[in-house]
Amino acid sequence: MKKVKQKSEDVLFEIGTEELPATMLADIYENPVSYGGSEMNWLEARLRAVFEEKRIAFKACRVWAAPRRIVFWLEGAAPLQTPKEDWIRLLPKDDAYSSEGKPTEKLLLILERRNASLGETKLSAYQNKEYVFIRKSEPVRSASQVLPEIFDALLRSLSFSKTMRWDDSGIYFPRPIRSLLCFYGKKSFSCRVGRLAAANKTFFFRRGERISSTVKDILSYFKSLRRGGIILNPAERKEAIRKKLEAAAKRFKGRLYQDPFLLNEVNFLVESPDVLSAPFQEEFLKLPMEVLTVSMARKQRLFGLLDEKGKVLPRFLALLDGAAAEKQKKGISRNYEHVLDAKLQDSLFFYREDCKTPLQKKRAELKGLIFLKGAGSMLEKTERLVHLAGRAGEWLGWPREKREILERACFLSKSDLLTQMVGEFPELQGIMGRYYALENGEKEEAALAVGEQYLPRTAQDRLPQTMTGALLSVLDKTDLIAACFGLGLEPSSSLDPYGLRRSAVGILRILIDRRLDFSLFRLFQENQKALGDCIQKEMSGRMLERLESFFGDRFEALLVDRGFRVDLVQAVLGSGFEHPYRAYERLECLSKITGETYFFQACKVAERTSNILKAARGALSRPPDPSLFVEDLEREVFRSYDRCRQAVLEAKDARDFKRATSLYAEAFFDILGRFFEKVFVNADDQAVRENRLRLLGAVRSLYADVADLTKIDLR
Amino acid sequence: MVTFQDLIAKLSDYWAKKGCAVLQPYDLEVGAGTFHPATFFGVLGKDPWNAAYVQPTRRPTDGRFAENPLRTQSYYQYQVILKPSPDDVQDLYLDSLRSAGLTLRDHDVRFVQDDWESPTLGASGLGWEVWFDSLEITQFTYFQQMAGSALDPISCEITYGLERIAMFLQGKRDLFELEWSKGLSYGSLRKTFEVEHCRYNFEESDGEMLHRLFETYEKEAKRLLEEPGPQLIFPAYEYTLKMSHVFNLLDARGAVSVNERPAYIARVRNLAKRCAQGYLLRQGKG
Repeated sequence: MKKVKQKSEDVLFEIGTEELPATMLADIYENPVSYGGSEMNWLEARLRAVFEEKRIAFKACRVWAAPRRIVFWLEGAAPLQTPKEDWIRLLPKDDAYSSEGKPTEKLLLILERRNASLGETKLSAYQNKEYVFIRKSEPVRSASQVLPEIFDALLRSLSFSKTMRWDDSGIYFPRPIRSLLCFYGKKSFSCRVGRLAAANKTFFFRRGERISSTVKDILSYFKSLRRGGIILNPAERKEAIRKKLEAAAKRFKGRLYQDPFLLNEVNFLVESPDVLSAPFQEEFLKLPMEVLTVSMARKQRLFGLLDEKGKVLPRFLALLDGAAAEKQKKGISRNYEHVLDAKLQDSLFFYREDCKTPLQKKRAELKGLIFLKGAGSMLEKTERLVHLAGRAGEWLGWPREKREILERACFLSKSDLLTQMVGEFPELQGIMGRYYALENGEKEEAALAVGEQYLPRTAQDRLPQTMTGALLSVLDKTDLIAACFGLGLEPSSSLDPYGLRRSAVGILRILIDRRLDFSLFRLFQENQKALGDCIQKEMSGRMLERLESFFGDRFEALLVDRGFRVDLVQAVLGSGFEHPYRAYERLECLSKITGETYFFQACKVAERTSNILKAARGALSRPPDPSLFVEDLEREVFRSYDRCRQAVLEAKDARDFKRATSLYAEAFFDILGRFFEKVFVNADDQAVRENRLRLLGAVRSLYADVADLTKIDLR
Repeated sequence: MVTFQDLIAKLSDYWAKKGCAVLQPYDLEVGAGTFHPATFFGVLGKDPWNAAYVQPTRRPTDGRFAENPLRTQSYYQYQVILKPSPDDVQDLYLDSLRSAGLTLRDHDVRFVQDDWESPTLGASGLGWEVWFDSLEITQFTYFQQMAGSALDPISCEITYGLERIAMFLQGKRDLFELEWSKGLSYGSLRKTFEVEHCRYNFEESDGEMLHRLFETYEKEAKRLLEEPGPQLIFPAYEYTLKMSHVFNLLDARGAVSVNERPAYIARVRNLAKRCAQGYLLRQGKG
């Protein structure tokens, strides 16, 4: 047979579907996965995995998605499979060869049966024993033979989060697949999936019309999509949508209300984006801004506009699929307008209905709302919050009036969960509480605190602005974490269904940025007490320990993320962070002096004392006894300690860690240098030895609550 | 002008030509056309089944005292059930809109994801709400489950909101302004009915009586399904539907607390499930 030299070809595969769920596609494109060491979207990762498995190499690949199609494109796919070699273990060497090194009958027989020669074998070790192996090659097939299998495998390997059946073919997909298009180079190739056979056709959908288009080759496919106004690449499409929205906003002297979630969603609701704009009735402007924007965004997928003062304009922007003529657009936007008016009417209805019962009165119903299974109701949760607020307020030395405002905010905090508005738009929790509290004549500061209790919602989200809101938010989150830890619902490496990590970071951010200086561990102890029987017995013992390591990891990551040196962060956290704010203060202060000589010297002091104390056993906590000193240098170190002790303590109290560090270095660097040169700490006399260790222990502990400087990388 | 009654006739005509049996509404208060035995029992089992019918629906919590132009506590659905679901079902649906008189190219027609679920029927499916210039005019669902069991073959359910479609056909902004037939308005037929029911649902219903009814209906449904016992599936199903409606009334009255809700719904679902199981068992025997 004459061998034809084959060359690499591009591959195109289009899965034509009915409208795929937009949020699912957005999710895939917004959350890349890691594959083979790089980040890519999950569809591409699947594509690469299947091609790898089927041994077809390629130069590059892209995966695009739009509401009615998922498109895979590969550049330069090899014409043949990559050869694959395997070695199969045949016999132990002793069975295969005689002592003179001749092949045995047995070996020859096996080779004959396999139609193989001795030249194809090799000797190799397996589990500490020599064996004869034989080469086995997988047959190398052509790409056009393998591609149909690849597409079948690819399609079946796409395990989307939610799938369905639509016929009896046994295929699961998020929505029905209605067409397949497969090209290898210039030729379309046949391929079947379920009951569907590939055809060289693709489809466009315009205002309820299905238009079929015959595809000649890969190039003509992309051309005809472009002619149809379809932007296949999601990133490109999103940018086009953003530009159109911003241009439209400008026309109406407004700016776009930023809603990244909505933008990501509409990106997969259209493949040929066009924007229209229409007004809504001004009477609805009396609704809270959040209600307006959420009513527009969530159910209607509309964008709101803000004026230069940040107030909502009575106008919205909508995405159409496919450019519409002006006349059509007019009719369409009038209809959009009426629909939105009716929806806003409904929001107004909810608002008025909700205002009829004050939050205080609604609160009793919270008894019926479960907070966490095993940790009681939302009513009990608010009772705990009120109690904890009182305690934390005392620790912070807040005046009574301020404490009462906070307690009131805690008392009312969860009532809005029972309102119709929050039932309709759950993301308005807290925010509605604020508006309704104001409607009910509650104090403004209490209302604001209620409105800020869920902040920050994400790692980037803003923090509560009011101090009462900040503390309420902390209490709300510590209660969740305490309850989950108490019920054995700690997050695992991959799963954190209650968002405890996010909550912990939120707590730390608030404590340090809002300068709330109290002991987090004390709060957890108090919280644990308040949870009472909800805490499982086997969980209660080591709870603080587990919380400490849980918070330690988050705290370290947060601080490193803020640009602090990792060794310095570890040094400061290593000396304890029961008071997160104080730990932060120490870190901030120390981070400014790491270049100073005295900082280096203090580190050296820490290093020297620690090295020798590492091996020390016995009662280091007792102060050294001057009568046991033998050498002058011992007395000198002790005098130095005596002299600087008070000043260091005072500097620490004044939170002047710069001064504390320099005093410490000044007092001990030189003298300890000489001490270690001359004095042999581990003296034979036990009393002398222990006394020396106690002396060094005293020196170390003078700084131990500032930072564990042995963690500092001095190179 | 396509009147409300014309719209019904056009849809019935269209689906009759596509091979559907055009049935009549079910004579009980139900929340959706899905509750009609033609759908609930129709989608169970292997036999092909194609039916279309109007179903008046009751959704007490959706009442707005006839003040919202698009939302009422009672309205008319047009329900089509196709088993098995044809491959071109989306196109069939779009054609039905054209045959009802809508000019699709002048509008923005979209299929927006909606994972449908009826907790009281233990039913779920995937599909869309169909948008017509951003108004939901149809619920389009590939049923995956009914009464808690996976369906095979898959049925497609198309549920039109008749009033909303008629509003586009007639260019009306308020459903009460629709023309039911020439010279007769929807409002004159339905407005007082709507307002009175809203008052009843939200303000006047007797919660205690409704609770009692719920218990009574449940007892009766159970008795009818008991084994040994009468094994009367259709009557038992009717009492289950009555429970569902009474629950909705209680809900509108605010007489079901948040944590009682799931328990009430589960009681209805359990009976619906038993009805479906009994039905399938009998089919198997027959």
